[in-house]
Amino acid sequence: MRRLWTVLLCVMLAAWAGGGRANVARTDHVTAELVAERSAVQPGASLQIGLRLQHIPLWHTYWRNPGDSGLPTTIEWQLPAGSQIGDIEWPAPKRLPIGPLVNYGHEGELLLPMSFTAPADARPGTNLRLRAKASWLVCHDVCIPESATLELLLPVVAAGTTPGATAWTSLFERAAGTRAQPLKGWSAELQRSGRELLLTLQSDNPLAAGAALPAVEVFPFTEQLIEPAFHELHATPRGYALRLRLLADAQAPAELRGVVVAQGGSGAVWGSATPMVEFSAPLREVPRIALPEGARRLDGGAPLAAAAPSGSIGTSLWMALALAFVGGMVLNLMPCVFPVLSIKLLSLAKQAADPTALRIHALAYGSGVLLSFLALALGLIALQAAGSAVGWGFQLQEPGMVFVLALLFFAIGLNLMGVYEFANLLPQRAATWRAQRPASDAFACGVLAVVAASPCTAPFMGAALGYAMTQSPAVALAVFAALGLGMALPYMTLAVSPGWRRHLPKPGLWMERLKQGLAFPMFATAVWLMWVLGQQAGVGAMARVLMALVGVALLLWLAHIGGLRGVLGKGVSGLALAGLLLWSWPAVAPDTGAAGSTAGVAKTADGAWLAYDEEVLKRLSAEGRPVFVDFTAAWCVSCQVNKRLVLNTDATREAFERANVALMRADWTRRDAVITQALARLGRNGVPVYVLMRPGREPLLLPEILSHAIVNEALSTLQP
Amino acid sequence: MPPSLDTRRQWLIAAALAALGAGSLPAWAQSAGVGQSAPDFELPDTQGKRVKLSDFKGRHVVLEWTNPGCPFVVKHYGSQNMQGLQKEATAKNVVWLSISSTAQGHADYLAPAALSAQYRQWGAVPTAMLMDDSGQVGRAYGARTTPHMYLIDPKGVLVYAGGIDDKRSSNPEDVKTAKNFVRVALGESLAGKPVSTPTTAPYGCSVKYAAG
Repeated sequence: MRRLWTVLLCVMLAAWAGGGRANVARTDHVTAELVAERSAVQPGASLQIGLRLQHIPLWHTYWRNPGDSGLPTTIEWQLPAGSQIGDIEWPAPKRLPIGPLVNYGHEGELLLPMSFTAPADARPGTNLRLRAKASWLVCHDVCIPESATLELLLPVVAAGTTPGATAWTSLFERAAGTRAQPLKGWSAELQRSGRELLLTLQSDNPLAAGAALPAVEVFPFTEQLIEPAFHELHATPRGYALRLRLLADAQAPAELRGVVVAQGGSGAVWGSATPMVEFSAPLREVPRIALPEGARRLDGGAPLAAAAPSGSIGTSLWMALALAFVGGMVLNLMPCVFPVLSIKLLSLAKQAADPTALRIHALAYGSGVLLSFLALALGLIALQAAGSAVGWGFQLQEPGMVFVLALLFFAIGLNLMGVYEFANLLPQRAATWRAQRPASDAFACGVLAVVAASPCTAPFMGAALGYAMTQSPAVALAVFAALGLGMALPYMTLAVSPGWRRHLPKPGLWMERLKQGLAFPMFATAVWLMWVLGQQAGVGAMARVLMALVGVALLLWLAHIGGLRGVLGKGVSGLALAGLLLWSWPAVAPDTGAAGSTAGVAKTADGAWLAYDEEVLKRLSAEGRPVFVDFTAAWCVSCQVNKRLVLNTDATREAFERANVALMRADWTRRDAVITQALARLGRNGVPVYVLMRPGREPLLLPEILSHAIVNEALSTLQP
Repeated sequence: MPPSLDTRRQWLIAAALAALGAGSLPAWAQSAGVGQSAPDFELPDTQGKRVKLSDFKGRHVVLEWTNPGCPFVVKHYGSQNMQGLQKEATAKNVVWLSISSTAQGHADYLAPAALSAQYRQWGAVPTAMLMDDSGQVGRAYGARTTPHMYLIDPKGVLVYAGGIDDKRSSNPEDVKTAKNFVRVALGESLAGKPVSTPTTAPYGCSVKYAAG
């Protein structure tokens, strides 16, 4: 009977304690209350109680070490005699940047759990009254100290009775699931040289090869010891290396104690149930801080060439080679390359050539492509060594080069239309030489394909080339060679395997029509190059170049109808051509230079986009405003496609507006050292590059081919 | 391959990284430490008069980073703690420079006249109240909080940097029982003795720095 009474009482009390929320303190920024994991406690037993703080959005309170400024939340207890309370079991903090400073704190819903032990002589049926004065500093842009006196009534039940759950039980369980565990199976060490620190966390067992290491964040327990903003994370073959820095007026500790939190919510990397582990790293003085062999940046920063020991081939090189290879294959499909190659293949199909000749043809084409890419790479490296800030696409930053390409595409188009035959234009001796060496034709075709491909950057290429240009020349050449191989392979394969030709209709008029039809993409390419040239050199230069095209067409036509026979005819036409080219050769417009080209962009129609300016960028970042930067160029096809289909749509504009993102456009149409360096910082060497600058966090790089979903996903990372 | 290429590229990348991280990396990588000579500076006071640190050579100088919008500053002025210390110090020929590094445009920013009126109302008696709107001097000293206190000896050497006292709270009551580090450091240095606790952890609001 007595037992039944106890149970009944217990149930009633549980209902009362669970629902009893009378003791909630509300300030302007925080709702605070004391909560318990269980509805009651047995004499001498322990249970978890906690301070629950709910912050209004954007406001935060502080962790045990508040970082550069701030104050940890404190609780002063008034407890029944004989009871005990443990320390706050702090959950994982968040890095909270404010200007150049970084604080450690908590936002949203926060539970600060503690272990409470009831007095051994507590009498079942009575209530324990726990009183606490909680004080916290709540900050957003400004700081407000707040405090509240809170109370928790905890019923005591007999030793045999199991206390029930409360509304907060699951909150406590979640907290237990993220509580810091000791770091086991790993060793931690802190190296110091002056104020420079290197914290290494190494797994005792080799890490699974290829396993992705999650990013981690380190929070030391001691206040005002290290600069919280300086946190440079590297992955090493055995774990992590973190560069940290002592504050100017801090003493080096004998050991660094703190927690390290794996991002992404899993403790798998530690072999622990929770992502947060506690470490203690003994200090070792070293003459100079050096990153372990094979270290690479893990927090999105640019690769530190200084840190990576050269010579070791890491996975990233293989990755770059693979990306370059795939990028090269995709280049074949680009609008400026595809027509040329399809015509070439079809003409091959017409001839029933023997396999040896086809093999020679394929090899010659392949070497044409490969050597052209290597020549481009050497040119790029030489220019960089000479101190020019250049990158992929540098060829097209010269209006003269754009002019030559426009002429070339126009001439190819006329050829496809049947306005003239290439063979008829050559002098007799050259024609004979060419006829005796069919491979030279294929080689020239390879070179032409690369020249035609140069305005295009395929997906995957950007990352590979960006990597290549930050490495040694040997690595850069290897990556370019992979690009060439990737580009050459499809054509070579098709050339030597005649099987596919059986599926083609019989050669006939359709081939002639197709050839003529493919002239139009060529003309379109020429128009686009004209537009690029117009951007670079102005309308006058563009008109002169168009005149040059007319002149070239006239000469080709005259040659075709036989109007240029004899020495006189050839001499006059040659002189006329030379004069025309000289007259129309475009010069860079007078307003060139970094300021000129960016100012040009600022003036363009879309007023929402600011011209790229690092001062403005810094200011916006410091104001806490995210910035989306579009690295683009008029000559970059994929840039124009992304702009048309994604960036300049109303949906994207609205998404940017909602997220309060400032928009900036870095125009690389003309050579611009500032933009080239900005690209290098992002580990890139060509456009397009899309990057979301997130205040206080690493910049987020978006893929080279954009979609609305990709932009929205990037913007969603801005939410806390 | 010439070795210079690699070095140049490394340097470039390092410079690029530094520039890129300017928003997040601390600007006081080179900030002064205790035992070193205090960086000289020249700032306008609230009247617009230029004040130069090196003009005070031969005297002790206290630097106090402050912001009247910060509850921790209010704690030490509301309890007369800061004013009391200012009176003690200036009576002993010590120069007291209060410095505001709050950026223009921040909610806490006050124009010079309003700022000086606020401190006059509190009865503050610094030698000068200096305007460091750009935050350059604050960064040079590595000032992170308001208040953040510094003591410079007559030779121009920084002998104390840190908090005002050991009660890290915003509760004015704590002033009575706190150990005031600045008073101790000042007393020791004025007596020609080395400062026994040359650095402590400062506490308070973050300095509301301008971008950059």
